[in-house]
Amino acid sequence: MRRAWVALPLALACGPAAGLRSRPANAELRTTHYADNSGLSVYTLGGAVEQPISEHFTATLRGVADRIIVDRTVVEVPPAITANQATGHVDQLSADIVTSASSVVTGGPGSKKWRVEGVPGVRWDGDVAGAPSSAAVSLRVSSEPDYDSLLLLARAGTSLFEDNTTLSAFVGYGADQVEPPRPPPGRADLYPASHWRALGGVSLSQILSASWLGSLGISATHQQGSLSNPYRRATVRTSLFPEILPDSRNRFTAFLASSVYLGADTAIHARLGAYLDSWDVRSLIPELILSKAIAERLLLQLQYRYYRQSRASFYQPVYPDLEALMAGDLRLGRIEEHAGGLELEWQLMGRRASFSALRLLARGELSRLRYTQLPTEAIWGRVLQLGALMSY
Amino acid sequence: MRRMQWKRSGGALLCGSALLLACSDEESILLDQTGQLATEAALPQTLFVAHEGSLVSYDLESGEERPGAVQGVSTPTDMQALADGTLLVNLTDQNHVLIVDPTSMLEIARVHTSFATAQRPVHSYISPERSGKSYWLALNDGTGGEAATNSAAFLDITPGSDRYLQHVGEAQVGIGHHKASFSATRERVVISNIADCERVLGVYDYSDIRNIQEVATWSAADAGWDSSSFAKTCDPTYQMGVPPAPHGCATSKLSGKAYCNLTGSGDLVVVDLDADEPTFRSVPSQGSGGGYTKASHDGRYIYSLESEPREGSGGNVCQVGQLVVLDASTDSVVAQLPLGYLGRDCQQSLAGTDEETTEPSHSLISEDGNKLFITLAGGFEVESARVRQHVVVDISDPAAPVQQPSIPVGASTGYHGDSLSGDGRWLFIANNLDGTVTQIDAATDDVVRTWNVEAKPEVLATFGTREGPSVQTGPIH
Repeated sequence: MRRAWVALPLALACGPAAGLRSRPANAELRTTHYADNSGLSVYTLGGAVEQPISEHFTATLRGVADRIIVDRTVVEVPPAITANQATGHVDQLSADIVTSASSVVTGGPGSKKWRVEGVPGVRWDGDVAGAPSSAAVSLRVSSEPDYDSLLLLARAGTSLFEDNTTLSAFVGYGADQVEPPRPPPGRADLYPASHWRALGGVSLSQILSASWLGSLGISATHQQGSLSNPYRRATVRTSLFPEILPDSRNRFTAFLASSVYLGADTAIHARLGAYLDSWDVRSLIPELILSKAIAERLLLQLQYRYYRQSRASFYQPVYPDLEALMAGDLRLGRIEEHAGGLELEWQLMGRRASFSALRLLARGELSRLRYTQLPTEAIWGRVLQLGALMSY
Repeated sequence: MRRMQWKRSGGALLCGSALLLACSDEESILLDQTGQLATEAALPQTLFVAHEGSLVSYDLESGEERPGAVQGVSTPTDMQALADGTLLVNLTDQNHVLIVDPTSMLEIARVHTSFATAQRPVHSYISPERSGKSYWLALNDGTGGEAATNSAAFLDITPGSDRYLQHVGEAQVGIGHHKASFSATRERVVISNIADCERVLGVYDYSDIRNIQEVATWSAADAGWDSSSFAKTCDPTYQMGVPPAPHGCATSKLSGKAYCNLTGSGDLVVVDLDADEPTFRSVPSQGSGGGYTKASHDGRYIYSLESEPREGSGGNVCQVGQLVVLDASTDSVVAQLPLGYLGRDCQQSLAGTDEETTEPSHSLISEDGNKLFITLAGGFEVESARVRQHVVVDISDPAAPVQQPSIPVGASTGYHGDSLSGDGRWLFIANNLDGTVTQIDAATDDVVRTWNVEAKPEVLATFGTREGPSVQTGPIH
């Protein structure tokens, strides 16, 4: 009975259009709450729509709104510094506690604020020399009261050898500007500050057997400009000073992944991400996901992820004296994190990616992050997420 | 590369392996063995604000905050800048003196204020230079009325000294909150004890800093407390009587004597502390309470603040106390000026308002010697008390002082800091409830700027290479 209440408006809204299209449109809505014992909490509402507009073209629109609440005073890092770590872990509609793609916040005077992000785009799907292919272009526009960011991204992919191999690539260019309400002491002349970045990467997926899929990818980003966060402070002896970071950074990521069907509606996904940059930060991110389909319409996923990172060459928790480079970002120090998650998907209506389908999901994650150079307590974070994915 | 290790001691005190000594409460913590300032560059006139939590500086000309906010600052009291700008501030609850390089805003040291069991350094004084030596005097107020927790600690602040910024001497003093005043001619200091009946005042010889001698004491009995009445029964708990409760001393370079205010009786005690055997003599006033005492630049007059008479207690409407002027050439009181909260002609009753417990707590004399700026405080330990005015008295004719209209400042409760810049141009008032500092033109009494600082600004100092340090407490020029 309850399902009928949901099906009725879906049928009314989508039925006529479905009759004209060969593929469904998709809509997705997710809400996420991240909180930890360091005083940070982030409410995220994310939505995405993919609407076919012709036989080969699909309009896409993705939006994210963050409500960021910071109970501490000096924090964090702007999105441009940590975003686009293509380690294969970024869920673009979620708060991500490894890359902080969404939970990255600025604190200081504005410890409660909104961040909104919109990503309009268009995708082409068709054949190239007989190979199913796609190409997409999108523009990410992100705005906070003190931070604006633009990223133009182009992606392309093709399936080769009777869909056994998928090759994809992306390139992008972005620019960011930060204008804090109160510039850091002694650095007022630097603001508003800006920087730009260029990025690109390729990935390859290969069906290795009837039950085995492997994939790998690499990416690189170059950032140039003012990368210091106006709110972060480096500790020199017992004094806090505005951080001073290099004005460029080259970042490289790679991942190697494998998915194996184990039988009994069960699959295991293993992934190893790696990261290094010109500041000498290196990290490894092994991840394991066990997926189990239950009673045809339920999918249960258990996830574990480990994250280990070395420190940037110039990072010190406490500097003995003033230096040319002084970092205030704890995340440029050595980090170790364990994260476990549980996700349940319920195919409420229809079949995945078919017309008039509705899927609900609930996800919980618990993480323990430790800055191993600091005597501070471990940060326990929890993520709760609810989502609805609809095809029509 | 030096590796830093972390350890917590007390509040937010951060300690490193680069420290000369380990981070214990019993030892000095020095970061710079040379004791010299890290940077020799000229420093424009700068305002230093010690908050509950941090010590921050501001460039007076640009109005901008300067880089470097010293952390781990708890209960800062009596901050002063030395002649070279080095900042010292007592951290009362941490039992340390924090020493900061004003140019780099880096901590130089945290020095414990007792070799033994003394605690809670509150008031500080800079000694006059004698025999080529000068000292920072930190008076440990102690806890629980225990004598062993009280002392006078001396830190060597002689430039170039082998023990620069180290704790070099200590003397046992009486019980309770202390104030002091140095001799104008020799290495002696009179120290008062607010909650002691046997040792109300003590005179100490610090010519041998490792062996400080108590050369004279003055008891409540010596002051006439003979238990004949409640007012003449010495009881620091105020249950059975009233103690002498000295709370403010100043030295006249004209007479060579020190003058201490007994808040219990309102007497001013004339202390001949230069005599081989110091003498004490009481001069009565018609008020009581308060106690802060200051000498005029030439030493001819002594200005002492009293909280009574006041509105509701023998005073006029709007009166918050009185100013007593003593002529040091005759050791006699020559004026007792009622102090109105808003000025001389104030007729606005304070009864029932949150300002009704206001009393005068501190004073500064303008560079030309013609004005006395009086800082007001809300009633002692009255949490709801507020003050929003700064009192000004024209003392161009010291024997006939005239109160001027008060200067509106931000809101404070309890004691709040003030500072007169080294060039005499600016008077700064810390508004500890508003999180602001009021900057006043000392010549015109106009408020020229209200600085938005961090929460709970407590004490202030200024320094500029050209202008020198803000007016110091202790030296007798």
